[in-house]
Amino acid sequence: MEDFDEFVRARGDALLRYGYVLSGNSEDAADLVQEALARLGDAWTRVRNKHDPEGYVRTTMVRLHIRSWRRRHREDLVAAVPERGEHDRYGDADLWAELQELPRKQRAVLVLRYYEDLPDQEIADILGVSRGTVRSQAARALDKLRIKRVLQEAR
Amino acid sequence: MRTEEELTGALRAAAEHAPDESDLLAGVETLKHQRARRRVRTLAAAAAVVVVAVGGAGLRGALSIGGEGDVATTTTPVPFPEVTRTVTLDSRPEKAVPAAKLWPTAVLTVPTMNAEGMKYEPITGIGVTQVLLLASSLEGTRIEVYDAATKRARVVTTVPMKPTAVPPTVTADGKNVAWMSSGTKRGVSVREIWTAPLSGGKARPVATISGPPADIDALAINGDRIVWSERRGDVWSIPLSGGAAARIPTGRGLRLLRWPWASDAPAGPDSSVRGQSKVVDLTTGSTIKVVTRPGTQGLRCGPFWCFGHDETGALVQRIDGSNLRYLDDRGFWGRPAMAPILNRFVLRGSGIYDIATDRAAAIEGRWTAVAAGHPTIVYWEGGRGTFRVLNLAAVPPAQ
Repeated sequence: MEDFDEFVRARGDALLRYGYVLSGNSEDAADLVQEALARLGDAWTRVRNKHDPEGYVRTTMVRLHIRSWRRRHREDLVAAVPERGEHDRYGDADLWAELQELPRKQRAVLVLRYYEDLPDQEIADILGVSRGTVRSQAARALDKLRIKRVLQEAR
Repeated sequence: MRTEEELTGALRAAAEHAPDESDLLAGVETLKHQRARRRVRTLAAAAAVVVVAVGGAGLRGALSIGGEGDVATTTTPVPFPEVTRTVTLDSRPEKAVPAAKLWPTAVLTVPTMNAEGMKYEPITGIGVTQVLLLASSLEGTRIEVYDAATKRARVVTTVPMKPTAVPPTVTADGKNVAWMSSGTKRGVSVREIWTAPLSGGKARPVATISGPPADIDALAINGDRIVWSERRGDVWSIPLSGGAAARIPTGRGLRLLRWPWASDAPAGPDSSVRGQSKVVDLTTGSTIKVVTRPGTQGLRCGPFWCFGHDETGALVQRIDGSNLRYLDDRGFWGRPAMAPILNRFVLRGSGIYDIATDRAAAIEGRWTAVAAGHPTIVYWEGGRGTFRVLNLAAVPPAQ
């Protein structure tokens, strides 16, 4: 597992940044990265042979993120468990704050497209939905954020 | 109105406010311990259910039960009452036989490194006693064949690439090997495809692919052509001797499985729940539609069998939806989404399940790996300094 520790040390900060733009707060970002890394650790020999441990972690993180929202959402309704971790605020706050208001799936699509710079087909593969769904989710999210769609047409 | 660039900028700026990575490794350890405990509990619960099922029915072998009664589960079954469900008892871990005992001629012992200290990674079986290996060290990368009968290795070719780069994807048929090395040039992805005769010889470049088409997910040799598919879909081929690459018209939007088959889902193994809707014969364009039951996820098929899971657990089925069998869903593989290997084997439980004979082989080792690419071998830790390599292509045919 030396390689694994090395991987965590080398890529940990990049993964945390990714977790942060996905979740919008430090606490959830750390949770996401840790859970995804723990799963990677379990699967290390398999994934290492696919030569892309980071891709595995990133995919796991975005799926965990969307799923944890569903789970937490139900808990909220039943037991009124408070959302943990306030969304952090800073400088260019407006757009960031509005991003937090989006449904998680829509935000995940935007992060994968505009932060990870992935093509729509790959986003569809990661999220397990069709390319058409990715496009419509992205379009809806961009409209809510009042962002003019230009790139969308070229994808 | 805002622009898309502003969105990218906001995300990048926000990322700089991420927490620092100080305690990641410690946190990961804690989580893994918690999960190990959870797994033991789940295992105990599931085992209890299976015992009840066997005792109640008093049957050996395959146990058929009608419709809504799913025994080997504690979750709500997906209703599909008109179909008979089969729980395969032989796939339970206690019924699994060690691979080397079940298929003694298909399990070989291979060293983990060559005489020069280069680390081996098994790629595929070549014949009954030989295994193709990628050998790498800081000094370089080679492709070798190891013969478990004579305990000797020979060099097939030297792979010309920078030692720090990502390991190449290697494939072979009975005559040639081909591989794809990856890199970037001025920020653009570049893939180079090379070949060499399996009997040994100098590596020869066949094609260089750059930009979006360089996102390649599968590579194979088919006689005198090399075939590959793009991750976003489309199957290509090029003569082994070089020349122009051409899209295979019947492979539009598809991903390569084992030649001549292609799929509209990734070849896997991956961890996606995305299913597959068809299998296409690239030589004729004929299409077999996959029949997916409601609730089935990550269903991936070759030309005959499919492998996936639903709420009940892992399952195999015929491509037309018939012959459903539930498999043991515990063990180290997790839920890999991939078509059955060689139309016959799936990674399941703590070993391999053979659809043709309804037997399961157990794998014992601290770790187990499946070869990269379209795998036909599985390998695990053997005795000191060795791998145990299971060549699935060498498993005797079902009687």
